[in-house]
Amino acid sequence: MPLTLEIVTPTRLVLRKTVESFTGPGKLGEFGLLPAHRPLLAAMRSGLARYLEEGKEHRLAIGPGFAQLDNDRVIILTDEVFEPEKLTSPEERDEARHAALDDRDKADAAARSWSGPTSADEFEESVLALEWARARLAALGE
Amino acid sequence: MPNLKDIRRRIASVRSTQKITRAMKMVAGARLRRAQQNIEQLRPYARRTMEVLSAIAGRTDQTDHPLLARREPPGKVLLVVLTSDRGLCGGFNANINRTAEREARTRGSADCEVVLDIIGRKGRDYLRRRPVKIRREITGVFENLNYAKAAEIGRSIVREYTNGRFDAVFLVYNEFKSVMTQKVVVEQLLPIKPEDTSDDRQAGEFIFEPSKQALLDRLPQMYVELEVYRALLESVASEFGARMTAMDNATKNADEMIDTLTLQANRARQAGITKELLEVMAGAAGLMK
Repeated sequence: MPLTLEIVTPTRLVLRKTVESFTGPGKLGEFGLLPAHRPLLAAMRSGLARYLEEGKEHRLAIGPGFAQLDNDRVIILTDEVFEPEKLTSPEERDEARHAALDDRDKADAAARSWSGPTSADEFEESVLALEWARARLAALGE
Repeated sequence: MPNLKDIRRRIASVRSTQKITRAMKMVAGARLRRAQQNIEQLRPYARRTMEVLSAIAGRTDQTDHPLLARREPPGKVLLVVLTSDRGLCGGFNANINRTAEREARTRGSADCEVVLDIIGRKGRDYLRRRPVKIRREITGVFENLNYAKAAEIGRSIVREYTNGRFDAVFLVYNEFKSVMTQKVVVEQLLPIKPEDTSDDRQAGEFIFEPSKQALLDRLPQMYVELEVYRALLESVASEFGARMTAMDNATKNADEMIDTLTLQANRARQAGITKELLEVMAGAAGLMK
């Protein structure tokens, strides 16, 4: 009995597929799911998610959110998703890569120039932006 | 018989009104498509969030959690009423306002105070003149509506609810069924009512990561924000649907009116011609004598 994987964001149902396994970025570290796994509810951070469909590995970046596994059905609730597979031409991939690199450097600089507890929220924000940029790069195979 | 000039003037006036209603219908139709897409895309996410929330709530002692525990009987109830900022959308606002007023009356009693948060200018204008207690009026959310705005409203409701200012919170809004139909719903927002998960409980206890408490700190709050956002999107889509239908009817009615008036104008014109002819003939007959 394979897994049913559903990834949803507030703006769309990203995918709904039958997969053999799923690996995702949990708050406490990466976790992998195979059929007949114990029920799980996990908080997720930005990062690289992978799933195996008919022996082929697919990679995508997902934002912070939650994952639930129950009865071999995986639900991923997340704010945003980046699918490099949807970029068909090399130019598009290049553009996405540069955008991610830019975002990473910007967020990195912002986090480094953090000026104390008064701007704790901003620090948090730049860390999130940094993680999201890294996730996209990882999905692109960097 | 009204005179020809008056009828022609009326036809011109109805025509220009019709131009406006037709334009409004087109605009509403275009914006409806976006709004409909937005709500239809959000629904799967909202449904699954509820599912995930129910999975954890069903395995928790709900009386402990500030957003899940029921407070019976409620001593203070908040109704969040979603109307629109603009009119000319048929019964859209009237239905909401009437339901809100009725809810306020039936839920209120000597032991239970009902207060209203009103979103949208049209609800404010109506309910201000009614015997209900208004706590807050929010207008202008519908311009550039986004998640952040909804989350802000959601957060403030959660804050006040946790502080004990309210024992129950309800959303009153138009649910988008189709372009032609909207349904007024009164939905309990707080305390959160999770779905019953007792029958699909399978062997093996859930693993909660990082911990059950950490998840319970975040998920219910997020759910409330999301529900407010969803209700707003439902309302926006309903508003455009209602306006489009109303303006379509208005355009059709204008057509009918133009037809009737044109008929009248033609009759008046013919009557005038007949009268003139009769006068000419009478005059000619007089000369013949």
